[in-house]
Amino acid sequence: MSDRKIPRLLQTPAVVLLLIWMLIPLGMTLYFSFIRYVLNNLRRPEWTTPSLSNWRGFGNYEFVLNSKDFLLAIQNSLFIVGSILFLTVILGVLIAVLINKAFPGQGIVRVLLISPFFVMPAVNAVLWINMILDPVLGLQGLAVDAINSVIDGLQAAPLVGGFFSLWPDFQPISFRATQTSALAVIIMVTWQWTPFAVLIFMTSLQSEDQQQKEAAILDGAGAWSQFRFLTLPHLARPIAIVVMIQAIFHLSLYAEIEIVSRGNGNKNLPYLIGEFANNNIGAASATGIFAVILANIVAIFLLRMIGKTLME
Amino acid sequence: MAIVAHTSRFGKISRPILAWAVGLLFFFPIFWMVLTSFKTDADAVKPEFLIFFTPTLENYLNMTENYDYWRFAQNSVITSVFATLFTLAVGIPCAYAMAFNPSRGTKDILMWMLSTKMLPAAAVLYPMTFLTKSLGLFDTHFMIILVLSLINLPIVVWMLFTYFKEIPKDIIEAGKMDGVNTWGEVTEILIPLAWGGIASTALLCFIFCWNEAYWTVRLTTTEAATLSKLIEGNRAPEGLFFGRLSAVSTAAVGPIVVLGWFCQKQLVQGLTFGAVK
Amino acid sequence: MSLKSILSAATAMSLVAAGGAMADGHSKSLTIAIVNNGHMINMQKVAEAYTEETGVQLEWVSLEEGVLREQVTSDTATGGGQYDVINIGMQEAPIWGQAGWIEPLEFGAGYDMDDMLPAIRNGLSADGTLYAAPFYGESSMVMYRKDLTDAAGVTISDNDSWDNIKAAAAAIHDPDNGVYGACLRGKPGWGDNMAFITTMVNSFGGAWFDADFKPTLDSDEWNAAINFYVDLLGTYGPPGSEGNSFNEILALYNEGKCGMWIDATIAASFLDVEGVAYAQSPNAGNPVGANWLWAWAMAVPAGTENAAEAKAFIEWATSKDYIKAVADHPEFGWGSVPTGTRASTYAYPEFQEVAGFAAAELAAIESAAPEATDLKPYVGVQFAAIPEFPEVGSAVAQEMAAALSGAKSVEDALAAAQDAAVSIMEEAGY
Repeated sequence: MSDRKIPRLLQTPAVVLLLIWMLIPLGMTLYFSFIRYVLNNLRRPEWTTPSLSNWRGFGNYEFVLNSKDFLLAIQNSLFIVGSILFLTVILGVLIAVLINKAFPGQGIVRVLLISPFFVMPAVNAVLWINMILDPVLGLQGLAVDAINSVIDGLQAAPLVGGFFSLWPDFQPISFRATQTSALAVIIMVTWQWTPFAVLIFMTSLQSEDQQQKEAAILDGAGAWSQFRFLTLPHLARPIAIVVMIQAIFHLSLYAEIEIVSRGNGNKNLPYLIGEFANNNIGAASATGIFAVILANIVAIFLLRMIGKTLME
Repeated sequence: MAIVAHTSRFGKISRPILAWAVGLLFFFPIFWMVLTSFKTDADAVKPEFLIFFTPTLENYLNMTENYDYWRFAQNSVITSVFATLFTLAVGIPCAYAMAFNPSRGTKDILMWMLSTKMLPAAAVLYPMTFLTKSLGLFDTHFMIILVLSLINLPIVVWMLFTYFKEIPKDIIEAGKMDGVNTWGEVTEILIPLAWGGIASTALLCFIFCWNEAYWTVRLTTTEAATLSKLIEGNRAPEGLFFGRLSAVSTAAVGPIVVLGWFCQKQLVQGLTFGAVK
Repeated sequence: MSLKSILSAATAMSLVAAGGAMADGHSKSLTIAIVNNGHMINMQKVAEAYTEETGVQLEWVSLEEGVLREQVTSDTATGGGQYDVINIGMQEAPIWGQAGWIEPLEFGAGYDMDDMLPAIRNGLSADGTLYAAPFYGESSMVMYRKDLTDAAGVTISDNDSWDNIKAAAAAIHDPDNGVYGACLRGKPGWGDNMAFITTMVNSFGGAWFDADFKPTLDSDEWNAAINFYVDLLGTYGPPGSEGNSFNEILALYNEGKCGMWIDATIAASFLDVEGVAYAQSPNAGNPVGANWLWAWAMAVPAGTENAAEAKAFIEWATSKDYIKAVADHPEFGWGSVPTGTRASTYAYPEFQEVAGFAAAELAAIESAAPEATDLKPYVGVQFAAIPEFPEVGSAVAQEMAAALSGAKSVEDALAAAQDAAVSIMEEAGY
């Protein structure tokens, strides 16, 4: 066997498996997206079996484009992913720099910090939305209650009471409302994925050139300029990796959105697909094709932005 | 020099305090979940039992009595372990070829592989269910292992590729001179050299497999159902049972969190993505 | 680890898989999909006796309502075979029966079909054929804290007017002490907030569709009802109401945070607060009635190979004997029997003794009218038994939650809901 063939042969299983994994479902999705296909319809039972005689052209696409939540889903997909990326990268860099130097209990702090990354998404969502963020029974509700009763107590107190009587009662925030449900999802996913960013940044910081740093200190560089001109450029590549991997994962968020607000005020394309897929497979498939297109746009965008760093 | 003195004072006192505060803050929700799992459902929502309460194992006993916890856990272990192994078995040769014999298309193939991960699963639920059923693979370990492998293959190939790229070509070439064949190159030179990277990749892959919850819930009934399915059966019961919910959640994420703790050194050192200078 | 061991592991993997496939084949085993509600979870224990008696092994899969629906739908729509017995609700039963997804049920004379509450039976049938046997049934009613209403000097009576309900809620509303006047569902979902909202709209004289199946969410009745709902719950409800459904409110009520709760009658059996009293649902004076009707029922999917065993199991699990078996079970008793399916259950003095809500529940179920009438062309009270309803219901539900959150005005939310409903119905060929 020649030298050229072996590498190609070695790539074949992975490429072929992924090709099948992509092409068969994608092919079926494409097909369904151009026909009338519903699971159950008492008036038009002929639509319940996928067949070319139910050809509909771009009808499903038109229906999806005109549905009230399509734009919301696209905007929100990007908003959620963008916010999570922004927060995890900033928090990740800060925390990684913070715990990179030795201090008492460094090992334990590291263990505590990375734990959220191992938690299942559904557990994460249930834990946060019920036990922590619930405005009455969750910790948020209890905390607001406690603060209010402290204020009430102070208002009743002599002398200072007059001052505190100007304070309003705090209202707990409902994180399942239309205005806040995206926020809740961003909070819980950021909590889960910041540890991942910390892990990768920390790994990278360990390989930072200490000699260069010492030289900089001798030159009188302050902490900020060290960070700005040495650490941050060093982290450019890991940041690209964190952005890339997270973008891939967060474009397909599902469980969190479902558990927090059932799509009220917050949905992405996968969730919209899930809603259509209750019955209207044609519309779900057309939405799926839109999601594939969006994913590819994001992928090209990422490639332009960070692909070079990754391939070097 | 004043600045240096300032930073070191920060290093001595403020840094540990701040670091511990951040660590505890991030860990708090998990701590809260474990704590709540030892409260009765009635106590769990009462402010007076917020921290001080009579611990009970009732929730865990209830869970093991009503659900076959050990079967779910066993399935999670089996599918995650074998999916990780299978992914590596397919991914290592592929990444090896890409790193040491790159062609013009290598970059595109890698990017294409990663883009398959962005396909929305919900769009292909029915085709997949139908296919799996007609192949007779519904609710089998084989199918779940296959699906988990395919989901994680792109990330694994890409991670391995970044590690392998850092290995100087000369070493492999030297092996070739000594008459080592491709098999030998991979097993005797590449794998030992890239061991740290491979181990961290495997760990990450295992974590993703364990936590996958779309297909493991939808392509199983009982035989191959994993802990994600146990969670789906408990996340919104009739009544809001914080205690019970916490116990099931703790039992589902406990093993993987503990594994993560033991392997954190490996993770911290290994997730370099080939960026070691 | 060498590549060799990886390869051998891969071989082992396929062996494990083959083993898993083989294990599917054993006979006399039923796979049962259940919703994770208390009565169903208890059934797993009560049914141990059934296995002992008949030798039929039972495999339980308990899932959250939404996931269960999705799984059962994808299973039945792809030819079935995954489950032998499925838990479905009153919305699905008649439609799935008509579509041929589930098998018609016929039982022996000992089953005593006439004992089944007629409203429940009608709701689970299509064209006179029963497609799913009820495991437990429910209607809706008002549950309230009599100690609070007495202290405030107000009364709540059966089929009270909505204005009186609001006045009572205002009188007992005391947020500073953690008591909210009215706890109602707000979490989006056709089976969640829409269950309550629809019954309320019904009582205002509105319905989902007109005789031609055109959505009527732009009607004055809807407008009046939703305005009332948003005002009542927004003013006297607990914070975060847009996230509350049955589960959440049950927890709030049991924590003493709710002065009044209008919800499923089944809730009464979970309440452990002193001084709870019941009243029939409020009504603004509409003949359709003001309380909903729901049953969790068991059906046999068309693709199963064990249809005979599955039917036999359902016959047992929905029989009078089953109710007796729960009552006699050492862990349960009369307080835990599934209610709302059979008249005979309510006749047991032991049951009446432990279930203070029995009379109110029976009255509510019997007064619910799921049949299609001149006022509404569809079967179902708080839903429409048509395949498109879940989609329409979810879309409208989100708009209602947005109105409750204050993100939209009631008028805007209803207009958007109407548009969405019209487009879904047109899409479906109506």
